[in-house]
Amino acid sequence: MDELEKSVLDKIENMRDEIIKFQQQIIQIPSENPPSKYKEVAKFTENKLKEIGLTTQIKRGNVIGEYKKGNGRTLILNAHYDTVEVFDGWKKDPFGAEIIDGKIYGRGSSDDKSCVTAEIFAVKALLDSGIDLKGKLIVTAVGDEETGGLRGTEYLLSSGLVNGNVCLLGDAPCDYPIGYTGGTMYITFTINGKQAHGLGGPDLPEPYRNEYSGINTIERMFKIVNFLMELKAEFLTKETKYPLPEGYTNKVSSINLAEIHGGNKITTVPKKCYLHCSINTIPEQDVESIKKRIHNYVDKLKKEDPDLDITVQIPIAMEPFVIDGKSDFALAVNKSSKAIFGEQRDFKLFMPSTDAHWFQERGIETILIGTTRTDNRAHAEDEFVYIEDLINTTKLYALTALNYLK
Amino acid sequence: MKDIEKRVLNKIDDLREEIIKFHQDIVRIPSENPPGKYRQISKFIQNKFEKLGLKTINKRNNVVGTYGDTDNPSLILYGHMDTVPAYEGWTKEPFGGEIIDGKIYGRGACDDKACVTAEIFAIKVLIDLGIKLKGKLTLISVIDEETGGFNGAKYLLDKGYINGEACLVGDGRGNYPVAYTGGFILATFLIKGKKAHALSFPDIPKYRNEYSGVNAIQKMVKIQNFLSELQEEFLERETKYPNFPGHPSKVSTVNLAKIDGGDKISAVPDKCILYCIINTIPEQDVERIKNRILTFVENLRQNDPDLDIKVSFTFSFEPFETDINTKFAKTVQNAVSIVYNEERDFKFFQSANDGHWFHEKGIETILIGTGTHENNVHAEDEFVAINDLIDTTKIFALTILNYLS
Repeated sequence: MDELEKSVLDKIENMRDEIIKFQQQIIQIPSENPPSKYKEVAKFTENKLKEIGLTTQIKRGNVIGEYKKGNGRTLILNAHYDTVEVFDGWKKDPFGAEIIDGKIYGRGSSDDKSCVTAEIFAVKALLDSGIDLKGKLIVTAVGDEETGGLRGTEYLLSSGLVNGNVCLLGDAPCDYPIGYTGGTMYITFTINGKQAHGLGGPDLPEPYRNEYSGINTIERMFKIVNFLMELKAEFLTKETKYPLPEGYTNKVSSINLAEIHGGNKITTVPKKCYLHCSINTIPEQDVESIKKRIHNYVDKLKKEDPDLDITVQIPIAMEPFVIDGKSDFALAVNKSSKAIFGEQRDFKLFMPSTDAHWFQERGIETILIGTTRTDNRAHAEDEFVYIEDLINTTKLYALTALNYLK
Repeated sequence: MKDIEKRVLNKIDDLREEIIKFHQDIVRIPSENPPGKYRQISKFIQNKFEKLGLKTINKRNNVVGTYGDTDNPSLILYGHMDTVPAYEGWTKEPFGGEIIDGKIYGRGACDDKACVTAEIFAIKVLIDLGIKLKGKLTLISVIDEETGGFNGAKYLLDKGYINGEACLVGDGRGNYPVAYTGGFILATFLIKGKKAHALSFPDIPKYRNEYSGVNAIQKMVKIQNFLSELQEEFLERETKYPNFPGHPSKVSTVNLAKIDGGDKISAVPDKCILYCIINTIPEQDVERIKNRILTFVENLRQNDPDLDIKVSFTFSFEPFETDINTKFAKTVQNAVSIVYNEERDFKFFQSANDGHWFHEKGIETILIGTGTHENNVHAEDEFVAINDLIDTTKIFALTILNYLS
């Protein structure tokens, strides 16, 4: 650890109470997505960025803060303040930000308001220390991550409001930086059939069919489901060579049948059935070829079964990414983690989808580090963040910015 | 045809306008099940029974009317007044009772208010003609048929509000008497899993840890595949009993009727429920099929400690066959043959209706309804052809006449 690093870390230690207080305040402002009402949380975040000395703007509820000195490289910090809904089953107040045993509870406390707090105080620590940074630091706090990022990160990038050389993104496990991300697909299969009385017009093959026979969509959907299960079994045979963070066991690609609904009445042949599923891949796979296999299978089914009226939609399909571990940015992250943890922390693989791919697709090298642990209950009831992880993430952001922009 | 039979049939033809009007009246009183609000229709029908001179009781909105000598052969004539909901997609008014081209449109116009109207006018004609019955006739207009009959036919039988030696169940297809029915099973499979973030903690058995989800939809796949195998096997078995013309199937069917699982694309679903209906041919045994399903599920359970599954056979009944050589069966067959002016034999009908409740009590049970498979029963724009309504009234009247005199 060098002198500068030490002074920044000390600064953050001294701001501990202030960081906790801000984190509690931001949790207390609901920003569930849906319904995605972000005005208050955006204003609150912008005010803080202004207060610490950044130039700010809010675009479609996304907050951008900039600090620029000279003509160096640009580092983007990205975190999202939208959260999934509270859902049921909480024992704690989901917007209470209660502190118990070194944990702060609340929806978004971990995913991902902790990273919004961390990026703000990382920059504050650097500016308060009067460190001479060369280049540009952009702090983004966005909405819409939980529903795909089209009106959040994607919008900021495609509109040119945000651009940079590299991005440090929250929304990930703590302790180890993430340099490898898996691919993700969301797929919806919709089958339309023909309703009929389940007893009078059952869906039977020839020679039992007649003009009154129904076309059973649930039955047809299970052909798709069986195909997906075969794919899944095949994916299971290939483990990734990339290391995972502790507690995350899925070294393989997986397919999740997330939602299925079909029929509305026990006495009829169901007219409609739809299935939502997600596929996440290991970095060694490519999403495009999986997409093709699915389409090919569906085409084959269609040929075999003229009654099959099926639509396949793939609203989200993102390829996996692997960083170059020897880049300046990667080295800056390595140096920072060594200063904080006393040892260098190697890059790990993270499978869940985040906004990272929006940067990666544009050639912006992206490394993730957040505050999540396996027990944080992100997306579940009684979500919390460990205060220690919040502080450490703040430190990692600060030192990475320092080492990359100094 | 005997002279008395001819007078009965002529009298029914004379009553045609009155029958149509009454039928329109009851089609216009909604009695959808669900929600099962029957007070108005029940009162309306009870009043009509009373006007005819029947002794009536009303139990849980089921209307029972009795007529005649109580010591001699007794016959139950059955119709149900509840209907399935109207649902969407109608081009006619579902409670309008509109008449177009000799058809009366409306929910229940065919299934089964037609039989309620028919049974009422069948007895009215006999009374109007001053025909003395030697036995007891019990006319019933029940509720709850569309949801199993527990509060309707079964309730009346269990409580002893009705009894008899024979029952003509007016429900289902017209044109042919039914003496053979299939069995029925409503099977519900409920699988509970464990919710988790789908991408962080998917359900991959080999890579599990304490945070991993258990995917309830995925576990349902094995059940579904088993049911598909059952269907394939059942298709091999055709019934030897004669089927209705135009009826698509002489085989046993497995219908996956409804499935719901999961509520969120990013989560491992913790619940999945599948409803499935199995219809058997008379040659099959419902109890055995139930046991096969339970055995299969038990095996799954033993091989998968994470499987939390509950199977309920909410409703099931065995197939039955009625002797077609009895006085009652011959009476019905004769009535059908007179009305259609040709010999008509007994058919097999695969449908869930209240018939089995009577059969299980040892009551000789024959079924005959109204219309064909073209009447849009349970679908939009249900209708009954006026001629079919009149024919059913005639069949009922001749059956009462010849069985009870």
